[in-house]
Amino acid sequence: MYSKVLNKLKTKNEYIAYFFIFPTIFVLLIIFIFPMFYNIYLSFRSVMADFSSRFIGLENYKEALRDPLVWLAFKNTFVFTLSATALHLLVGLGIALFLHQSFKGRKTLRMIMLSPWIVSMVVAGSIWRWMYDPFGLMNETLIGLGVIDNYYPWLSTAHLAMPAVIVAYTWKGYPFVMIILLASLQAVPEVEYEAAVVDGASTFQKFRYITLPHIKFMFLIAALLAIITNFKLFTLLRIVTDGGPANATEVLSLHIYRQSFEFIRYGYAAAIAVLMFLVSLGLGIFYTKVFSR
Amino acid sequence: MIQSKAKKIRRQLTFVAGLLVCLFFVFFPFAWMLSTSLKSISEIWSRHPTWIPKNPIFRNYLDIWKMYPLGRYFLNSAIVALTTSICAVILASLAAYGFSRFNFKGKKTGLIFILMTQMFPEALIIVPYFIILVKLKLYDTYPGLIIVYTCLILPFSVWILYGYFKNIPIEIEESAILDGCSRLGIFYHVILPLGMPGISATIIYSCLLAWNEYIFALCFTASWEMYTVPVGIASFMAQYRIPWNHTMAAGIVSILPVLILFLFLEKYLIKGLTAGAIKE
Repeated sequence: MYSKVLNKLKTKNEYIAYFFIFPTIFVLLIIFIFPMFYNIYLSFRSVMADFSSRFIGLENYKEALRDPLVWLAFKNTFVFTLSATALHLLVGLGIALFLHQSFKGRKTLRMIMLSPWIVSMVVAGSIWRWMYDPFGLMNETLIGLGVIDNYYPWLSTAHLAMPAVIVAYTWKGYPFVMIILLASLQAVPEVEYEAAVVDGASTFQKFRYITLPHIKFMFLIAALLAIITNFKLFTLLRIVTDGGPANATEVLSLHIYRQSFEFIRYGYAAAIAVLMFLVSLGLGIFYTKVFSR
Repeated sequence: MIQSKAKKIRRQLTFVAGLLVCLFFVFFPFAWMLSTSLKSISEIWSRHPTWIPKNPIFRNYLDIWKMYPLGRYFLNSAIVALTTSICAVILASLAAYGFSRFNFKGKKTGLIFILMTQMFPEALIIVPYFIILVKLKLYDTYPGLIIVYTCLILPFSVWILYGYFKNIPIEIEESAILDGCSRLGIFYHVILPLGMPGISATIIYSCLLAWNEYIFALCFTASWEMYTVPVGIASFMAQYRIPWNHTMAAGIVSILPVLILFLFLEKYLIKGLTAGAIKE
């Protein structure tokens, strides 16, 4: 009788399932897929401020690929994404390892270490922009410590602005990685560590031969998620540098925003957006192929 | 014996050192933010700024409400955040239930599709959304922003709840069916109460996202009456001489609602977020 009920569950399955997921899928289709195709449609047109448009074929794409600013945006985006991801992973892993030990107040510390995550990008950006101000904390502290001898205009210096933003973003973004890695660290079986200690393994050996293999999968997932997020980052860059100085930190998302809402070139912006999406898609596919698991 | 004692002390020292580094790294921006928020304009720009303000100006915290429409920004953000999280949770839990309990054609595609939407750069969507919202007369309105945010949060919510619902043992549902409960009834009486941690996590996360979101709010609102808190605070910095003390004070105040939410429901958040991640 029990199995009859289970069979009944299974046969009616397909149709009821669709009822449950239909609203969500419908919403997502209308509101993700449709705009994406609309964006592609717009990228082939020249669109005016009043939304009137005419078809111009590949002109937007040709212009984008010839525009040195677009190439610079691509380069900046790559540099930013890879550096920020590397730092996030490093810091996140370090702090996760630290929090993985058992000590009193560990839960409180975990909450404290998560705090940059709940602050908004705008607020975080504003703090760091203020700290990087020529009269701000950074200069004062570094001069006080004797590291530098003069006031540096961090955000106005082309080769300093990008590292500055990356540091700021590391402070803001590491909790995301930290929490994923902490969860995966907790899944490593304790017995293996105990056996290793019996065999006389050092801390480093324990890390290398037990910890690393077990967290490898989640580490790669965290890296992928970080890359995806960092590639499209907008707000922090907008608040801290707004692409400056002289486009040194102008990433793709910023550039697309600028072309749309400051230069009112909707079609051109749409084309750059399509290019950006294709590149990120390619990156994702490349990543999964290389680390296929 | 002496060897291991020295080793123990060394371990403790490195531990304390690590602890201090962690705390310092996280806190110094917050501390500076607090310090700045209590200073007067002239003191901010003084040649040698200090951590402790000379004359703490608590009045800054009153001024920000009087000099800027911060109250309006808070109201807007609150309305949008709450409505969004309710809509998102309803849709997402329905979908997550469907995905977790049934095996049907296109299930795998559906899940991957949902994951893919997370890869979309916002930049790809701002132009079409902008045009669509203007044409539908939803630009610069609450519903416009709510619809956009709901879609933004939906994929991640489905993912969290899917991971969480999968861990709810199916035996409970089977006994409910034996007792004559309909599918929708199961959903209401069994899944919802048991899935509360996951649902709480989703609500918190939706509120957090809507409260802190910037780019869509920036692009889809025009009048200051409709600004949300992030856009409002960013507008503080659009002036010629940025009033950093007010900006920092407003920043601190904007964190408080989130902090309260977070502190109260922190254990639900971690539990709900990592339930699907760890393969038991």
